Amino acid sequence: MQDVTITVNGRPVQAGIDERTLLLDFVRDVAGLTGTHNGCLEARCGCCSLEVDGAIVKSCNVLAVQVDGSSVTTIEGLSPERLRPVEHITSQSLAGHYQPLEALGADAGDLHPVQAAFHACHALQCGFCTPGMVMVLKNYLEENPEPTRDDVRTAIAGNLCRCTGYQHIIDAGMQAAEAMRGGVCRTAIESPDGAPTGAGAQAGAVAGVGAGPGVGVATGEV
Amino acid sequence: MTQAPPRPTSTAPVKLVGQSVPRKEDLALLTGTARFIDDVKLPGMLYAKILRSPVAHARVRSIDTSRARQMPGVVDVLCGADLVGRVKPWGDLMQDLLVGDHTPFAVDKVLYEGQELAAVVAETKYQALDALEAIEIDLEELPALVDPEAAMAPGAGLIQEGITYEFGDGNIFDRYRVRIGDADAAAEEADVVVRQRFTTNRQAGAALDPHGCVADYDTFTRELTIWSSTQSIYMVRDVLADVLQIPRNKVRVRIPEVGAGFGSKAQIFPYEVIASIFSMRLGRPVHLVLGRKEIFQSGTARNGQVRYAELMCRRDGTITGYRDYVVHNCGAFSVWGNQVLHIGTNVGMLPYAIPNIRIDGDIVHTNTAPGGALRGFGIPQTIWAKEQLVDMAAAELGMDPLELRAKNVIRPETFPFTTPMGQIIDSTSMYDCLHTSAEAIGWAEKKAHPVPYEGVGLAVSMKYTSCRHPSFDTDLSAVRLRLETDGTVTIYSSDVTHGQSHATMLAQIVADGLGVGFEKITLAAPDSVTSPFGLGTYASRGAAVLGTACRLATERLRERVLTIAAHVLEANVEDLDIGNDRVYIKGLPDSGLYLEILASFAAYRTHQLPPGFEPTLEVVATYDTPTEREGADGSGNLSVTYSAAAHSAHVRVDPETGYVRVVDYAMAHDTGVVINPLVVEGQHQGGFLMGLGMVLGEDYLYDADGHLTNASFATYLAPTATDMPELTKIYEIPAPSLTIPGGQKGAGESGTGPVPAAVGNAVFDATGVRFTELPITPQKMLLALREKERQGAVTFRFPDDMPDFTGPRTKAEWPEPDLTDAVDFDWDDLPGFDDEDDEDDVDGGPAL
Amino acid sequence: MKAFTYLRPGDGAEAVALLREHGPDARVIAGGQSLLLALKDRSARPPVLVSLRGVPELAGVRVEGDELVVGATTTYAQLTRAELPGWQATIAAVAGDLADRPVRTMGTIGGGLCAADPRYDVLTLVTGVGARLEVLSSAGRRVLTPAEFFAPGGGTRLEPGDVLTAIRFPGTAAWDGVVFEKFRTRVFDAALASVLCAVRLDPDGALAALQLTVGAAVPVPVVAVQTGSALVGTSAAAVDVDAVARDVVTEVLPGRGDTPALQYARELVSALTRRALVRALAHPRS
Repeated sequence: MQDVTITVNGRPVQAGIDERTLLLDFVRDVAGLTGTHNGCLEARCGCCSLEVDGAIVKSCNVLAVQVDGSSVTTIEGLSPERLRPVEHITSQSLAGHYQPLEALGADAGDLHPVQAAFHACHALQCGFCTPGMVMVLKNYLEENPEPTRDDVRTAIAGNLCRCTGYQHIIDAGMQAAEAMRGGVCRTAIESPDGAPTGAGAQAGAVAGVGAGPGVGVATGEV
Repeated sequence: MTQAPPRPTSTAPVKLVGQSVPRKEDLALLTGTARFIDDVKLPGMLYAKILRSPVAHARVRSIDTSRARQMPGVVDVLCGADLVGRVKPWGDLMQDLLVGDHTPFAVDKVLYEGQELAAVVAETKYQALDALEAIEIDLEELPALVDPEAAMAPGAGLIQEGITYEFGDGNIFDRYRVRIGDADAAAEEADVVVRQRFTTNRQAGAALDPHGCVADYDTFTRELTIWSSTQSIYMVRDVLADVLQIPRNKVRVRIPEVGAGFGSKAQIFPYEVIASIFSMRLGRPVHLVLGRKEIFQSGTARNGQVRYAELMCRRDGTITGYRDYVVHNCGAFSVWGNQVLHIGTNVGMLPYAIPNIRIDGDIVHTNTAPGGALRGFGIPQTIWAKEQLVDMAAAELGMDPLELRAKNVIRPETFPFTTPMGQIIDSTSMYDCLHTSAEAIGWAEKKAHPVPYEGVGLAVSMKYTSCRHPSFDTDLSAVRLRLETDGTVTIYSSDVTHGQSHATMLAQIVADGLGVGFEKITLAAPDSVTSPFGLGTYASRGAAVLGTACRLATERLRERVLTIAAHVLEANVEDLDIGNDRVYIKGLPDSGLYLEILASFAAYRTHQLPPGFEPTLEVVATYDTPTEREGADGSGNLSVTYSAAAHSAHVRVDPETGYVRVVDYAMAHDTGVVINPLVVEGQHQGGFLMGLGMVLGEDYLYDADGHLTNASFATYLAPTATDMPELTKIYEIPAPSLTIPGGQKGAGESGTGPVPAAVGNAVFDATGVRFTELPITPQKMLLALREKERQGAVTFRFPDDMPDFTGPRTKAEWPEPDLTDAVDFDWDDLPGFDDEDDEDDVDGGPAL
Repeated sequence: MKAFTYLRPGDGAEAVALLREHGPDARVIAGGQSLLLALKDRSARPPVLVSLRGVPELAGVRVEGDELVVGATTTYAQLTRAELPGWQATIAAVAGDLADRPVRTMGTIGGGLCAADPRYDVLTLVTGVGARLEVLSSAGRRVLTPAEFFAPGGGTRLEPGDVLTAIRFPGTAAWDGVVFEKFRTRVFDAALASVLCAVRLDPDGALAALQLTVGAAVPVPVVAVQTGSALVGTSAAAVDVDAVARDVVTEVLPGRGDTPALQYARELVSALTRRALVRALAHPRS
């Protein structure tokens, strides 16, 4: 057993742990944050990617004792939850009589640009690889803010996704890069000759209808 | 009575079906709050680990668990001998076999590397793993049968010794046959017959979320709750209850987020049984999540096939017949294995209306990983052979492969159109898909101006939308829909969403039908205690079958809401409309009664209800597709509707390394009415990835002893982002289904079917090498090129070059395996199992 | 993983002392990117791990005299970012392409060399450019050539108690051009074959030195000494690339056995030799 202290998303977590404890297990079992996933335990799928002192690692291939004293950022740290008014979605609102209760949570408006781009581009299906993908892209785009599509492909080549065929993930990476540079989000997917093609061409228009799930897409209140 | 105040925006309700509404599922998955199976943590939970066989084929001499029981933290240990006669074998239901062939552990014989031998449950994961090393196993290794044809050869040992299969003998455990028209006569009369032996690979689903479960037995209520990462809660519940011989209403299956499956989680596995037994013995929750190597070894892989396939054509290009002998490798056992051959072959004959078909299939056990369902379910295998034969026929005829396909794809004057195979095609835009796809890849231009080591290839396939499996007579999904008393809506379904976007897709249907806000609709997690019975999520059934159940439920609920509203508003139902969260007089969308008011009447103010109105706003609807059972001749309309896929590949081959790069790819699909275009586009892109993996890299590499040498993502070549072409050339040409009320067709798997053949055809165009084996690895590509150069050939088939192959075509023509070393096992001696009706009366098969 | 004790020495001397104390029970862990894979599947079961992470003297890149000294625990990520002059830029390029970005954060050049998997690019690199490897043990410090460091059948000749402390690359004048070529199926897979071509030219454009080194397809990287030395004095423009590729294959993978894998390895070595040579001769000083 060894005592280690690792700061996870700004919160120091101290524990006496079995030396065998992987950073992945420390984050999941000791810090209690399960957004970092175990997909292969052989540093191949990338589902466990997170940042240690600002550098990206595969946490299934790092011992917690190796990074004693460091600061870790996980997917949960990208769009911190905060207290916010509960969304009141019934038609008969009593908002005039009561202040809405507050509850902890994140909503679409708080998402990191990479997360927001994943949502807008449908870059996740089952979502298991998503936290690792998001962390890897976030870290990469901070280093290279003006990537080509091929750069983004290479940046996530250490992460596997079995659902999406990666296309929408690359779209999201490019869109996030633009947003992180301070540009305007572009949701339409363009073919090499510049013309929007496929169903993706429709995505931009519709994604613009609502800012995210739970926002009045259907009620005519937009 | 509260009237809704007028709203500033006097707009008609927006219809959501057909729009790329951003998904409801995303927020939890994006922020890490979604809980997958490994995230389930219950008080007092123990951790179980499985000891798996290090060899592929062996007799179990002994398994000694006594030392493991003494290890620190160990609470319980189980092995096969502990359970003999106490749990019922399973696997019979899905395969339509008389007796189950699956057991939680190998008992007296190991059938494949990775089969369960024993399991330990301990206070921590590491304690469980440490204790596994203390289990002493004594195995007498037997020769492994890795190759399915070798498993049928004379002298081959018997793999499954204890079971007498109704339609099998030796290592053949089931057979398949199709007799449509007269294929032998068609071969005689044909102007061109092309033939070739094709083989396909074993491919893993390799869903990134590991297979696993947490079992939690309540010793007071005697209810077993199992959280499982599965695609089908009722398959798990019903089989588990049957295996454990406990009441089905005492088994509760709950679903965390499921991180994909692709068919590999569409069944029950031994680990679910093992965790349940541990929890029942100990009264504590038991966590059992598999490691990646275990999943590769035991989590099911696509069935491999050997096809001796022939295609017959007239000089004008008309396809007149197809004849095939298939050896179908199911691995050591297979929950879905024989069904893959039936359905994949039946539907794999499309999109041609071939008048004469003769197919014989032997479904064979080998000492390899269990075969199973995987995206495409037999269709990519069939298409790999058939669509390459089409290109070979085009070459013989001197026709353009595009023209030959255009001449033969189904393009009837009127729908529905019934094929000789019996499929009822209720609509299709296949012809347009074919041309759109070819045009997008630049077919004509690339054919006219060939570039060395570059080539283009086409392939077409149709994918069933859900299926009446020959093994069981059902194809249903169900939805329970409840208008809550505040005007929100809860959808209950047992069909597990694991990437398919059910929460979004069903909410789009409900929002349109019930006029309720999209944000007010919630999909409840599947739970066998609350969800209506349905088959699960597989076979591209979500949008069409579950979607139809949801549409029917929505219509029923709408009718009930309108009935209350008509009574309250003293209006006729026909004069009312529904939208913007309220019921209103037609043309006045800003007036009317809020749904929450109407809903409250059915719960808290029942005097407001019409006389005799049953006070509930909760409805159930099921949809069982109007499909047929498979006929004795193999014909039948097994699917409610068929999606079309026409794919074109442009590849570049590196003549120095053999690396095949797909530089461009065009997919044209008919998915009928699309509920969410961006979601469907994502399904096609993901389907393509599975197909690309199948054709260029993914495979189970066994050595001669049956060891799986690449049970790791380091060596199992799952495509990465850099292996993919840009997938922007995706075209939907909707031909709405005439059978499905909303017009949908299945989206999930149609992107996979044509990929291996399209790439194979493009590789031939680029190099003159016709691959007869999957996958096309760089090594095989380069060695094939060198061999072709050495022979001075213009075209070359690799590795099997047998254009003149003519026999054997039926089991009767194959030598009998030697059964003398078979050991008589107890199943035959059990009452109720009769082994008299074996080979003799079955070999002839049903009269045809 | 089997249980182990994790020790954190603060300097090289302490590390060596700990290793001596624990003998064959102890394994050195640097970034752990190879070792942890073996620990997790229990193919390595050391009771003691001695970590080099807290030994600052072992990390970093510095110039000593002519030589470029790269500390053994310098990570691939650090090497990738190092701005190195002349042919040494190839060191950074190799480091930046040998594993995915997250693995490069933790993985160290010394760890890769000690794991001694011939498919790892750094083995071919140090062999091909003639780097020397500095090893510390309780007996003191010694400097080994790659041929002395790697065992001929694969693996290293390090003894328990040895710590690889630094890789001493030759100076910028040693080579005019160094080109590394490899083939792997997927972008961050280990190489199936690799070839490193290092050239030094006379002022008149003739080859003063040519070192062609083959990795991955062999148990330990092999320098095609005969092929290279035979070309010394030849004008760069007159090199018959195809013939050289044939010679390298004959020298490094002589025809014994003919499995498909071996046939393919020969093809790859030939193709990569041509590519490396063409690039190295085209722009040796760029």
